[in-house]
Amino acid sequence: MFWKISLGLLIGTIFVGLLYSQANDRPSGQEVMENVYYRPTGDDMTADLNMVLTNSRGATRERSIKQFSRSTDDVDKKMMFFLAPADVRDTSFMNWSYHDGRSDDQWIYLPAIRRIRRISSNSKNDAFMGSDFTYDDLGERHPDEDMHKIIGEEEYNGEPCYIVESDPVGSDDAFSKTVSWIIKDKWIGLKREYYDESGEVYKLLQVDNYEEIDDYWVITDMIMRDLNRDHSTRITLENVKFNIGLRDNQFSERQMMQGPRF
Amino acid sequence: MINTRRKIYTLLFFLAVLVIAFQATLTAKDIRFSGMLRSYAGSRISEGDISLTEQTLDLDLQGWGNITRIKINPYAYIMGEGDIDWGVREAYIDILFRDFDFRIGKQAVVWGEAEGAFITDIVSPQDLRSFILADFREIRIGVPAMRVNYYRGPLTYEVVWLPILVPTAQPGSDSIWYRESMASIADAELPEKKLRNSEVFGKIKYFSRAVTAELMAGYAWDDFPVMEGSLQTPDPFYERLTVVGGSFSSTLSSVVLRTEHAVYLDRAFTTMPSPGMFSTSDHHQLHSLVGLDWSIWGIGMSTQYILQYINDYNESLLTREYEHTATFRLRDSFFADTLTLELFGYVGIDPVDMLLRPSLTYSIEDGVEIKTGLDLFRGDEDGNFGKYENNSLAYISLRWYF
Repeated sequence: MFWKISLGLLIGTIFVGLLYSQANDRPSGQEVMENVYYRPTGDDMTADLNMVLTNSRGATRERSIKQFSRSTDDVDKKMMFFLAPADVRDTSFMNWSYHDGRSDDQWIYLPAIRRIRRISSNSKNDAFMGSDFTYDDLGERHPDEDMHKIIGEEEYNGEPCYIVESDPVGSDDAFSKTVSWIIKDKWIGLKREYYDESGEVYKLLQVDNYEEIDDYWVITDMIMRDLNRDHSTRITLENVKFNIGLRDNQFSERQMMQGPRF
Repeated sequence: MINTRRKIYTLLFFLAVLVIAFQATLTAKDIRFSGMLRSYAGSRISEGDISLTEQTLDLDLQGWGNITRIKINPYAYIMGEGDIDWGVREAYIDILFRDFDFRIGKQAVVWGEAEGAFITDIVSPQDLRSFILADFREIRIGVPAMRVNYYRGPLTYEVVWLPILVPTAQPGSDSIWYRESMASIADAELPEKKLRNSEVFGKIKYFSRAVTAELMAGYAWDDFPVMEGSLQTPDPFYERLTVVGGSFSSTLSSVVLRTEHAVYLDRAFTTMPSPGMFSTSDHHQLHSLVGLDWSIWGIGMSTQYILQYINDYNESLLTREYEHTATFRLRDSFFADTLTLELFGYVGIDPVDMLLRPSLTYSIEDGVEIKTGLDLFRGDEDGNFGKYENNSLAYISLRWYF
């Protein structure tokens, strides 16, 4: 009897210990999203983006964009220059995303009026140039802008993922919450569901390809679907280059107006 | 005969541009040729006539070297009767260094934060031949100038030197925008082309995540002439204009705040001290704007309040002491930005008048759009907009960008 009780206690202790150990190994939702946010992306990066908008009838429109980005200890800066089609050519967009959790600052250069306009925080929920991405989607959403919790783990597209639910801290977001599938160790989001106030998914972001280029993981093919409008926008990246020597002062009004020739 | 000759000149001109473009492709590292073709038809609502038909060709040639860039922007307006108005809006060379750049040639300069108002944005004169209805790009006249920008941290220092005065373009006597009062200023003599008669503007701009702010000053010519003499023998002439001003924009919570102010020092105004006799009188004038931009449910909204005030006013001035104007814009897009509804309006407060510009734009495919709308003038005929009440227009235009 004594040995049975001792064995039971030992097994129970080991089982509880294993559970405790597993729980401690698993990062929190906040840590997962911080790992995604701070995933190494080099000092700077450039890429050619192709944006394909597809409506419910299958008709498509394309936009060609040249993108530049640069990361420092406290801020990530990004510039996007529209190369085509002709009616949006020379339009440029700049985003500064701060590591201390302040909301992003954004500007857009409109060649038709030759002026750079600040984008108000309410406008960040507006569609970016007719696409299914909002201005906010194109920035780097800081982890502190949401409360995160892991609601599960599962294999998605052959990759072990954390499932993280994120509830916005502020009230000026278009969604009530998001649920993201994050690849363990690589810290790449493979899928994100956007929920409306009634708890229904209204927008879905899906990553169809990612690659390791120059030792950095890069998402090279993703699609955003607006489920209510049956409309989608696919973004593919080509000619991705890291550490090309961009200077911080090149992310400026001057460059927005001069175009993508650094 | 004259029309035929003009058409030949126009054709030769555009052939020359094409030759330059071809040459440039051989020598420049990178070249881009683009443009816009527009067909426009407008009808005066009061008359029911097709009073405005116009075909527009606007070309843009840009070339890049290692540290240089060229831009040539020729245009041609072909009116309904076949008259052709053509020219080069801009033709300049940029030399780009790490911390500064030069721009030399004919260029349009855009300053300030105001939309639809010209406060510190007075380097380039305005083309008012279609009142203020022309597109933003087309309402500015390119001026021969040399511009230097020096960049240091968040600051940009800019100096623009204009060797000659290019005045504001007024409607011709056959235009529906022509008013008799314009006849007397049409013959204003330009200042002599001397170095001492050149114009110079300077600006310091601060750009940061929180604010964009500009301080500017200019020693220029007033683009609008003043008059002396009598009603029978008016003597229009241009006067010097000294201006100091600035602008500011920042994001306040969910709203973008824009302000712009200028003081025109001792600006000359036309007066009528006795019936039928013109004279001039110098007064400081304040021109100020406060504007807000925001968005609700995807609808872009903007409003501005604009004040013009003449200091030390007296009743002989032909310009009002105070002018209060408000503007507003509502803009929404549907079907992935293929359909855009917009309402832009000016409202004069004393006297009460307005210009309302509702429009509907549909993008048939990438780079091709059809636009229809109204330009509605209403209100007191002494107002800046009410006096054009008979010119309210309904229009349709088709644009093809390439």
